[in-house]
Amino acid sequence: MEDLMIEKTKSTPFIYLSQVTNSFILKGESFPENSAKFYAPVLEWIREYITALDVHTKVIMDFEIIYFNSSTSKIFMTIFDLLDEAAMAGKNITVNWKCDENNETAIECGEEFQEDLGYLSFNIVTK
Amino acid sequence: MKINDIFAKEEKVITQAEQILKSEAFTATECAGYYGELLDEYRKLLKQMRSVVKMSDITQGKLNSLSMELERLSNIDELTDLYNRRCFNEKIAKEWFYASVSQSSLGLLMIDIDYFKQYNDNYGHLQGDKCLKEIADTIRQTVNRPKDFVARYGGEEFIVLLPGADLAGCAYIADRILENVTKIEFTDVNNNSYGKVTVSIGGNSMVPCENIEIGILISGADRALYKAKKEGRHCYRSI
Repeated sequence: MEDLMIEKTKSTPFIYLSQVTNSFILKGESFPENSAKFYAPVLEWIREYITALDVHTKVIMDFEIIYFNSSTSKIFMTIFDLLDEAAMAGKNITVNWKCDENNETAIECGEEFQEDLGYLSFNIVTK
Repeated sequence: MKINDIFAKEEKVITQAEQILKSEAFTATECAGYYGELLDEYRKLLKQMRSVVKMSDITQGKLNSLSMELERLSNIDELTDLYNRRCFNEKIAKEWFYASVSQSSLGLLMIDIDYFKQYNDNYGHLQGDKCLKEIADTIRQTVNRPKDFVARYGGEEFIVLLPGADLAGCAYIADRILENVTKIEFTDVNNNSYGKVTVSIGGNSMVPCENIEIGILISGADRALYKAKKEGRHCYRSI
């Protein structure tokens, strides 16, 4: 499985998904013109990755998003839902929702994502 | 409206579906199972929808407050906290229109600090900035009717819009400004004196009519200011 890297643009975040390091980084702002189209390869990669993932591998996923639009929030929910199901199946996945301590909006949104999850380890990390 | 309230219809659908399941309307247990799974999926998606709406509201609220702050910043002069020239240009156009409709006077004062370059040279630019701030505050406190409008027009120039004021009204306000500015004591925390400052003021007032443009009102006040400077400074003149 190949790594997936998408460069940052004005309206889309930097994305790096690696099976080699078992790390996932999503950083920047997200308000694509077509969120479904933009995130389609990301969702596909994650689905394939977590299907093949064994329960002994520790996976860290870092989300560092300053601003995101409504359709992105729906995509994120789909991603967290997938990860939550994998965690329910015993897979060791941690999501770090990273934000600036002064960015109340990002913190509140992180808390909102957190509420919907039952199994996934979801940390709000402020700096 | 609470988020729970806007999804009342969806909640009703869930309640109806639960009642259908309980009523044993499905003869085959297999069908009831599928229906139950679909219902769970619907609950989950509804929960997601609630979160999306809530996050969207949070973000929009933040964007709105940022937008208001940007609008405020685009209208305010950072140093003196008075309105800036851009805002003044918009304001005078509106007041000119109102005065034209109601056929009332629109008064204008143009104020310039006397020998400000020398003040800067003597005490430094930081003290010069403090002087500008103090004078701006004094003008703002002196001109305090609700519709009066004070702006920083340029470097050491201020402009005051006085809706409804004729030349006598302009002269009255100008005299109070002249008097109040001379009362300002420029000192630092150790009570060291930073001199005295005076201003010159030019005034003009007009009742707008079809053939007159706003520029005539402004250039008239500008000419009057020049006259005040020429006739010794620290005084008010009108044309």
